[in-house]
Amino acid sequence: MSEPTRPTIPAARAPSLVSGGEPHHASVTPVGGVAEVHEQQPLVGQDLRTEELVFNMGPQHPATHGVLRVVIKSDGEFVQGLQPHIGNLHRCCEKIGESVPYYQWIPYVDRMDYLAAMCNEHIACMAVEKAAGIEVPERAEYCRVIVAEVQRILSHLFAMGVYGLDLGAFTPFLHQFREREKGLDLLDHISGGRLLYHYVRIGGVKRDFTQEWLDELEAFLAAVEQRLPEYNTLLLSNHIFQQRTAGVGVIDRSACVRWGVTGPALRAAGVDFDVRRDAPYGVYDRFEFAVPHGHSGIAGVVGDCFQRHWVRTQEVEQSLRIVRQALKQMPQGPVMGKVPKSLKPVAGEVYVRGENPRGELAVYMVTQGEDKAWRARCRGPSFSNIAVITETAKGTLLADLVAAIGSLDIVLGEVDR
Amino acid sequence: MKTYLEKVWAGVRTTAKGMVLTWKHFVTKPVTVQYPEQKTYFSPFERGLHEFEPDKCIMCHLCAKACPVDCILIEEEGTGKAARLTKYEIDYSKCLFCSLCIDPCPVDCIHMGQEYDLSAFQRGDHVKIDFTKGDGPWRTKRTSAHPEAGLPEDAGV
Amino acid sequence: MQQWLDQLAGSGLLAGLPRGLVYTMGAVGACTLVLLFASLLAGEVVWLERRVAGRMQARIGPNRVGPQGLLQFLADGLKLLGKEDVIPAEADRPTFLAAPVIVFMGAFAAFAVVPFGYGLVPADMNVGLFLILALTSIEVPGVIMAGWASNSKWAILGSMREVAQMVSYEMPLGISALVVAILAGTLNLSDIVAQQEGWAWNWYVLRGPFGFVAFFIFFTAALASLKRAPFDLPEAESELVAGFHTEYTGFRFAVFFLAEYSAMILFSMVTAVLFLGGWSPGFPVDLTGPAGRWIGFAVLFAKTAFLLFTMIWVRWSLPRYRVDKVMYLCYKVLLPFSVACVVGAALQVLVGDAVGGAFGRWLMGR
Repeated sequence: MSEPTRPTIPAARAPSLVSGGEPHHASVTPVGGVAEVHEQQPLVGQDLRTEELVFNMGPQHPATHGVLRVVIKSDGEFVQGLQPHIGNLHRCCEKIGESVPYYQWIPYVDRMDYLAAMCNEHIACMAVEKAAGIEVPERAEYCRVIVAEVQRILSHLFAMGVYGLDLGAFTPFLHQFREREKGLDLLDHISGGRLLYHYVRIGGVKRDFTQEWLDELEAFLAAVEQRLPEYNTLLLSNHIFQQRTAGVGVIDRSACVRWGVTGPALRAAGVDFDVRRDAPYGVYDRFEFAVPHGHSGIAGVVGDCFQRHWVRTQEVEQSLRIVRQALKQMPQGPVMGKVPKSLKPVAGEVYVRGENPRGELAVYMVTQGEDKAWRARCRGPSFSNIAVITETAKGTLLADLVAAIGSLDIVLGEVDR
Repeated sequence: MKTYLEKVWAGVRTTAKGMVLTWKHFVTKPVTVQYPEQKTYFSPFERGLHEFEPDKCIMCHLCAKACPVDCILIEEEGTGKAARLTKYEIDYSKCLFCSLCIDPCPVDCIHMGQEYDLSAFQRGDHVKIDFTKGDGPWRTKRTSAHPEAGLPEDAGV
Repeated sequence: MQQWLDQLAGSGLLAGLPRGLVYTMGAVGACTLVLLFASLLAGEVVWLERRVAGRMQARIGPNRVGPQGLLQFLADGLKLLGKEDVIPAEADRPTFLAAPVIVFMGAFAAFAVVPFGYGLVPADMNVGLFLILALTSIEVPGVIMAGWASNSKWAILGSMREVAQMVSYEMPLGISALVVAILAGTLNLSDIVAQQEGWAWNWYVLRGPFGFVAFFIFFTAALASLKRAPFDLPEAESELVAGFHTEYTGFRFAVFFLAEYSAMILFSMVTAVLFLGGWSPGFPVDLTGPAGRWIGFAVLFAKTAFLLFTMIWVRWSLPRYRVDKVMYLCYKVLLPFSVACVVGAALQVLVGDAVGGAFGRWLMGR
């Protein structure tokens, strides 16, 4: 026998049509770390030996939103099993948090979920403030809420546009980028950066709003409000879009709880939960807003891709409401509190949670009276959300897998941190 | 049969709706600009490449200490009053553009500028920039681009 | 074509040459002309697509190379020519090399029977319509070869999708073309156009409801067999990277690209010829003269451009279908409707025959 050892095939299923030699195309590439994928299971027929095809989707694949790698076991177009592999974008965010002073960690937190930098800094700053007992001026709290909600709008616009791209509709993506561009400019004009703002600082915010900036903000809000129905015409109410998403990638309530799914994906499953309302932080308890959640009154079933997309469109509207209320209530005053020159919180631990556009982001810190944290840990929403895909996408078509991954709206920067 | 026809009709109708919308955009003016000729507005707070005034620097190393990535390298000659700055180098392969180096400066000699396109024919030209040498675009004096902070009258003179 | 060559052979420079040589030269000349026409136009369609897409997405699109970016395709082509021609080590080499040629061949050969204007047809055949449907199917084996030979999993999936889709959509495509064949009573494309001359209501799209519906079915099925969005599953970039031409680079990729766009032009022309009156401008005018032919060509060109624009417009408006939905649309929507149209068209001819007179002739379609 000069042939390499092959998995033994039962005599009844010995190949008679394919006589000798491995099929040219169906050879399974050994994939590191996925032992179960190697199992060879004859699926159909008695004579023709068939194998499952192992795909390596990513890390360089257009549908994986960055550098996610999904190993797919497929039977033609049907996904039989899959396993996401993460870690390609690991940048030691948490370890850096333990080796640099608190104020130097904030720019790193920006880079975690780079589509929601404002929300990240907000929560990280809150954690440090809680540990050190720093009072934040009221006006600064309002500034934080406004920029965080603008960021949420931008993030959701991006998520909705890219979801269209996943489904093959290119135009809504660029339409949403038109408004997103305005929003990025808006945050750029107040913070100095287009994507990584470093605007929220420990003790307050970097600088106060100017009148020109507030006018620009009004124009942005009006533009988003005007364009929202247009996005829905191209995506949400489109028949093809509904066929592609309704009933696809259903993540029900129990799956959400088991896998720790949060954010729009959790709300789409019918769970009426939002950290901003149910465990308010900052000044979020002073605003009136609804928490949209999936229900059976709209197309699709509760917890499917369509309802996740729908929840995002609704959240944009709610964010607009919050920003408008905040602008009205905003008091005068300083935007930076008293922060000691050397920030050395006493020994203890803090856990602060907040609502990111993608779900619940929490920062846990153990302080030991030094100028840096002894332990800094983040609970990222994307990390928990991506795991559920293993359960959701089994038995669906390849195109549905793409739709399901896209609708979870993960950011790999935060999955890998 | 009825739902079948309804589905077909829904497909045709929503397709037509979407196409009307794209047609509207087709006849509207584009919003983009022609980049190298036209540029967009930058706020005075823009965090681009640094601007540095070597004459003012008192070599206190506060900026280098504030930097989370340690990308600022300062070298000097002599001590005390006779000290002279010989090297002020920023490694742009590390820089985060976080502007933390700007805040602690007692004489306000380092600012974030509005240059953003690091382009050169040789890679080494722009990875590490020594602000005390050369006449590159980065060696700029304080301009009207930074009106937010007043300049101390006697600083570093 | 043959008359022209006979005239040419009987006069002037070519007088002394044997008839066979003249015919050969004529054939080579016609091939070159068609090839030039189709490939240059394909390049411009790429430009058109990018500009239209740009405007629909609130941006500008390529406008740097040449006036308004018209020469962009030359720049793109040169760039592709300058790229390394990578053939994967595990690829099935001869098949890999042959696949783009076959795909290209099918798309270009079908131009032979398209009547560009009165008498301006490279090969005036009695089975023109049939030949077009047959020649465009040559693409299928080419695509299978490309997908198989690449030895890439994405490529093989893409080519399987393509084959399933193209073979399925041949049916509504052929059956809706049959509506015109029934009304016209011929498969000769020149004759089909000749019967649509006169006022615009003589066009088959406006002769009764069946032609109207058949026109949309034909156009949709053409979109599907061209792999245009919303039916671009074989090269769905967010699912299969680039489908069957994932592993192709440089010039070979350019050939696939060119074949795709020239097939677009071909199907637009065929749709214009079958349903929109070909070179007839929509009012009675004699376009059979030496100058009129070229006016007719311009009219056909305008109709083709309109249909091309519509294809691009559809592409940039809609999300992509899923595999099973594409098949649903084909077998459960387009096919029943097209069969109904064929039956209806046959009835229409019978009714027209019974009614008689000008109206009856209009109904009969000839």
